[in-house]
Amino acid sequence: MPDKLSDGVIPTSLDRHRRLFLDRLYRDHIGNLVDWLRRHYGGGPPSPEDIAQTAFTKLTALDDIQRIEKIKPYLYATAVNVALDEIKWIKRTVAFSEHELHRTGHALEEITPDRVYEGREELTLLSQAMEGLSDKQREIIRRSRFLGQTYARISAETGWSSADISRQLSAAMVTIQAATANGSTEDK
Amino acid sequence: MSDIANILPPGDDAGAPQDQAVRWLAYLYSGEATNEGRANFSSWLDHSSINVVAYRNLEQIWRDMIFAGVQTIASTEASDDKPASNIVALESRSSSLSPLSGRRGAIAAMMAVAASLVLALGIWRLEFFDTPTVHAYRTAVGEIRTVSLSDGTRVTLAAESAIRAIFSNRRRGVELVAGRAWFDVASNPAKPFTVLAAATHIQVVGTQFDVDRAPDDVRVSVARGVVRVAPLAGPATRNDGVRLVAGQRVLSALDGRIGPIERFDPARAAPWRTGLLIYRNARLKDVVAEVNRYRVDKIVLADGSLGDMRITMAVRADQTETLLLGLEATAPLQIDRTPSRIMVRPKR
Repeated sequence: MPDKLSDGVIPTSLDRHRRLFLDRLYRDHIGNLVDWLRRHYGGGPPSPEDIAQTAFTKLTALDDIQRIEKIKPYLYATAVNVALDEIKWIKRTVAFSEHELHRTGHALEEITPDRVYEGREELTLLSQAMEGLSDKQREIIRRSRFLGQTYARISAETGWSSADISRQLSAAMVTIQAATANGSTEDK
Repeated sequence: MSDIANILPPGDDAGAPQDQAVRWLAYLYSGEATNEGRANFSSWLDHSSINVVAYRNLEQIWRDMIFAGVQTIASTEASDDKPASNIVALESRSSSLSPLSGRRGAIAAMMAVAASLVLALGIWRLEFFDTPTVHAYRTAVGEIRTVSLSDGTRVTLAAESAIRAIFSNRRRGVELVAGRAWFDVASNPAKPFTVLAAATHIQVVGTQFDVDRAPDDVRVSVARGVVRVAPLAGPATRNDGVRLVAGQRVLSALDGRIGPIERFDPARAAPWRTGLLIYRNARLKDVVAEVNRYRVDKIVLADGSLGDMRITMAVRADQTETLLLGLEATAPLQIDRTPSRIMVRPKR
C-alpha cells in the first residue's frame, strides 16, 4: 500500500495544494478504514486495501473536497458501495434496477454534499426510522443492505427462514417508508 | 434448504403499489431472484407509472440507508473525529473560513453546513456495523430453566421454549422464538431492552414481565415497572402501541394488533416458574398448547371447536395427567389414548 495518494492513487495533474490535502486525508484515515473493512468484509478478494484505495480515488473526483470538514462518512459510505459493487449478484441487481428505472424515465440520486444539505430533513427522518426498527429487523438490514448477504446466507448463519427474513425486511422497509413519508418523529 | 418459494414476488392483486414495491425490493435483493422474476418485475413497472414511482422512491431509500448507517462510524469510532458535542465548534470553525465570493463561496458554505449535518445525523449513532453477539437458548420437554444474559438480565424459560438474544454495544434484544418466558430485566436506561414475539414488539428499561407466545396470540403481563407494547411495524411511528404498568396485561394477535388492557394480580404473575400451571377461564386450546410443552405424549383436540371451550384448573407441570382426569370428570369430554398421543373428544 503506498504511503501517499500521489504514489499512484491520484492523478499527478492535480495542483500541489490539493495533492497535499489528499495525502494528509489518506494518511489520517487509511489505516482505520482498512481495519474496518477487514473486520466487516473479510480479507477479500478484493482486499480491504484495494477497496479503500478505490474509495479514495472516487473521493478525489468530488469538487471542492477540501471544503468538506468531515470527510469520513463520505469516505466510508463510498467504501461500502465499492465493497458491495464487488459482490456479483448485488452489482447485477443494482444495474438491473437502475436500467429499469432509466427505461421508465426515472433515475436515482447519489449521496453528495449538496444532497445531504438539501435532503437533510429526509435523511434525519431516515436515521430516526432506522433507529426505531426492532433488533431483529436491524440485524437483517445490517446483513442484507450493508454486508450484501443473500437470504440463504443470513438463514444459514442465524437460523431464521428465508420467508421470515423477507417478511422482516419488508416490514422494516414499510416502517421506514411510512416514517420518512409522514415525518413522524416521536421521541423515543 | 432455502424456502425461497415463500418469498416469491407479488401477484397482480397484492395490495397498494407501495406495498407491492416493498415486496419487489425484498425479492430482488434476496439473492434468489430469477430471470423470470425480473421479467415479471419489468412487467409490473410497465403496468402503471404509479408502480414506477413507488419503486423508485423505495429504491432511493434503500440506497440512502448506506449513508445513514455509516453515521455511526463518524460519531463512534476512535479517531480524529469528535462526536456530536463538536457541532458548535465545527460551525464556529466553518464561519472562520476565508470569505469566498460568488458560487465557490456558496458551495463552501453549503458544504460546511452539510458537514455540520453529518455530525448532527451522527447523534443517532446508528450501529449497523456494530456486529451483535447472538446466543440461543432452548428448553426441552418439561424443563424450566433460568439463564443469565450478559447484561445481568435473567430469563426463565418455560418448557419447550426458545429465545435468541441479540446484544450489541448499545442494544439489548431478545426474540421469543417459541413458548413462554419470564424476564427480569437489568435496568439500563441508556440501553433499552426489547423483546420480539411474533409481530409484537415490547420495549422496557428495567422490569419484570411474562411473555407467552400462544397458538393464536401473544400475551404480555407486567409484574413490575413499565413496558411498551407495539406491533412490529409500529416502533418507528409508535402510533399503535400501549404502555403497561405492573398488574396490566394485553393480548396481541399474531399480526401484532393489540387488544384491550386487562388487569391481574402482579403478586401471582407467572406461577409456571414454580411448576404450577393455573388457568382461569382459559381457552382449552391454549391450555393444551402449554401443557403439551411439559409432556412427551402430546394431547390433541379431535375437534377444532373444542379449542374455544373455557377451562378453570390448576395442575402441576410434572403431573399434567390430572388435567386429563379433570377434563373427563368435569367437562363433556372423553379421552382416547394411543401409544403416541392422547385424543380429546366430545363425550358420546
